[in-house]
Amino acid sequence: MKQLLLLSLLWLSHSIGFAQNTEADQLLGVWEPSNGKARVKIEKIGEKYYGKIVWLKEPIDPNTGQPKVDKNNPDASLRTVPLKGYRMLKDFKYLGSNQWDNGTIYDPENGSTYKCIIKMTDNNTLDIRGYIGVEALGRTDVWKRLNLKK
Amino acid sequence: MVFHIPYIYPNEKKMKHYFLLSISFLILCCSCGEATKKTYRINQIDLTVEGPLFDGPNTLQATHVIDLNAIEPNLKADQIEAVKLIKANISTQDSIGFNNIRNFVLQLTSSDAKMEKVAVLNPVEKNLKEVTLNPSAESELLDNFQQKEIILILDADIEGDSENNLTYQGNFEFEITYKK
Repeated sequence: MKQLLLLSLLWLSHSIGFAQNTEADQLLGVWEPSNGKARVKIEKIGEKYYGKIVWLKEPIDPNTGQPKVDKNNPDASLRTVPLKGYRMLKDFKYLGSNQWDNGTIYDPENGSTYKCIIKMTDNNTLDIRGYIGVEALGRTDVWKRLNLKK
Repeated sequence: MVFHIPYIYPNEKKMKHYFLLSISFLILCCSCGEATKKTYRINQIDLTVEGPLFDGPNTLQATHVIDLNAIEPNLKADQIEAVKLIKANISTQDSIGFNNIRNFVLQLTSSDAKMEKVAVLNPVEKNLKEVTLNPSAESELLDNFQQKEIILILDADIEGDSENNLTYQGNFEFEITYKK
């Protein structure tokens, strides 16, 4: 009887873990911010989620004629990092209830990094809220999935 | 005019002396801990990504278990004060070398520490089979080195698509500052 109970508990915890992983992985895919200037692919490394720029509307810097680089990075030694491929979303963990937190978002236009929380409002829409200090002091952008899921 | 002088019992006075003495002793002990710098090496680690690969940045990865004993026998993670990447070499056995690579960006992360961008090489010169990336001047990897293992992430910006897997070898050196 005890063994049966133990087995059932193991199966239940395994199923819950699996369901949570599947739910968390809904974030994976290619997303477009509201300004349409870039597309960001969200992928998983270890147990965390990262988003890198895979497409830019204007990939060439008009001043240099070369592919755009992270020229506003506060660390001058990293200003040659190309923007295409740049991981602008970093270190997100799934909290449950379609929310990913503990991450940061980088704005290449001013070289600033903000704390960030991601909420999935439906299968194809993300509310990306970047903030400084407390969540209330922030701005939300709506991102759309590129290949819409039904 | 009457000045109020707080009365301190003799025992209380003694206690205050002992308290101040012990605080000074503690501060002295902490400041005396000698900071030592040593180099920690990760040699010939395989960074891999499974094909198919598409034109643009592709992510090669490797996991490395941190061996604090290689720095100093019985060294504990909380004795480490600072970690910096000082050298990052990437090499390949492939006959085409890095001719199809536009640039490399190296990052480091672990389960409970933030991802840090640690080195870059942009552009990658043609006809080379070994390159040295330029380390970041400011990246601090202390949090990552306080975990059991680190994940090395190499973004290789590839020209053209490929069906094959890709493996490069990495040699890395970190400067570790710790207290004995």
